[in-house]
Amino acid sequence: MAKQILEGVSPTRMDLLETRKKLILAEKGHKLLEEKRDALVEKFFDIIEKRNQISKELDEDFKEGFMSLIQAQMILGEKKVEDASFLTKDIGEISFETDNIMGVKIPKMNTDKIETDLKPAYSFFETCSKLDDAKKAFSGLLSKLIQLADFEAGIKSLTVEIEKTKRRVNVLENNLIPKLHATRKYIEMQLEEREREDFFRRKRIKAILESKKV
Amino acid sequence: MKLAALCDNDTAVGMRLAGVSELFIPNGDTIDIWNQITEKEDIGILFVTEKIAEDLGKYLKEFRIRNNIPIIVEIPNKKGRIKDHVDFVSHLIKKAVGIEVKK
Repeated sequence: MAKQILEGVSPTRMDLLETRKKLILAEKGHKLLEEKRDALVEKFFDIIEKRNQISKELDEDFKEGFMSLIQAQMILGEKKVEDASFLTKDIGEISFETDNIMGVKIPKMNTDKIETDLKPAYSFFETCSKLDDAKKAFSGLLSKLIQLADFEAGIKSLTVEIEKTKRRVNVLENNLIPKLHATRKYIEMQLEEREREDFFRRKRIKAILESKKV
Repeated sequence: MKLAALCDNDTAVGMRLAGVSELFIPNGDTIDIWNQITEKEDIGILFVTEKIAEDLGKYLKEFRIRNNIPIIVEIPNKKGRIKDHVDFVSHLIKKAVGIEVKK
């Protein structure tokens, strides 16, 4: 692809100065954005690692929880387990704040009002220990799930920002900066050419004048 | 904001034991229930089982792209994770970084 020059540029000294200024600005911006992108990606990988670890743990916890739950269902019957489950108190509510990473707003959860170790509210006489196990497993799992949700929300906001930054870096790197370089070169060459023409014209006139004098 | 779950019956029992009281259990029309959930504004985190997430498909995906809250988390049901199911977040990661980050 032939290098394109910016539109609406005439080969004048004014425009040359303008283009040089633009080029410096573009390169500065490119460097800054590249740094931002790298910082975001680094942060991103941090969160991904945490998220993957938690999600791995959760898989195990879920397996355990469901195992206990199924056993409880086998001993007590599905209906009774369901009835007992209705008796648990509500876990409470969460609220959202916003956290700021490199200018990216990330929803941050406030889990102060969450009570994860609720006492079982069902009767001990009519239930079995497996139900207690299941309840314990699911309670523990829920607090992890809330953490996971926090990370996933962070990942989502970060991906949007990373994509935006990446696109900007690419536009600068592959489009705007080469165009500016080409424009600068074009103007410089045109100016030089004009200077040479001028120089030659003067020489020529001088020669003509001298030949007339003689 | 409340915690809520969209899941099958067995998972619902588990979630209820843990203290999540806003539960949506689809029997038959998943999309109908999904529309009810999207109209609610007091849900902070929504847990969705992978099976239902797969049924909802692009509805869920579009909703997640447009909205930050509720945060949607995919959970396995009692049969475990679905094989070869690409969850939304892994998909996002792949799109953003260009490579898959192994678990």
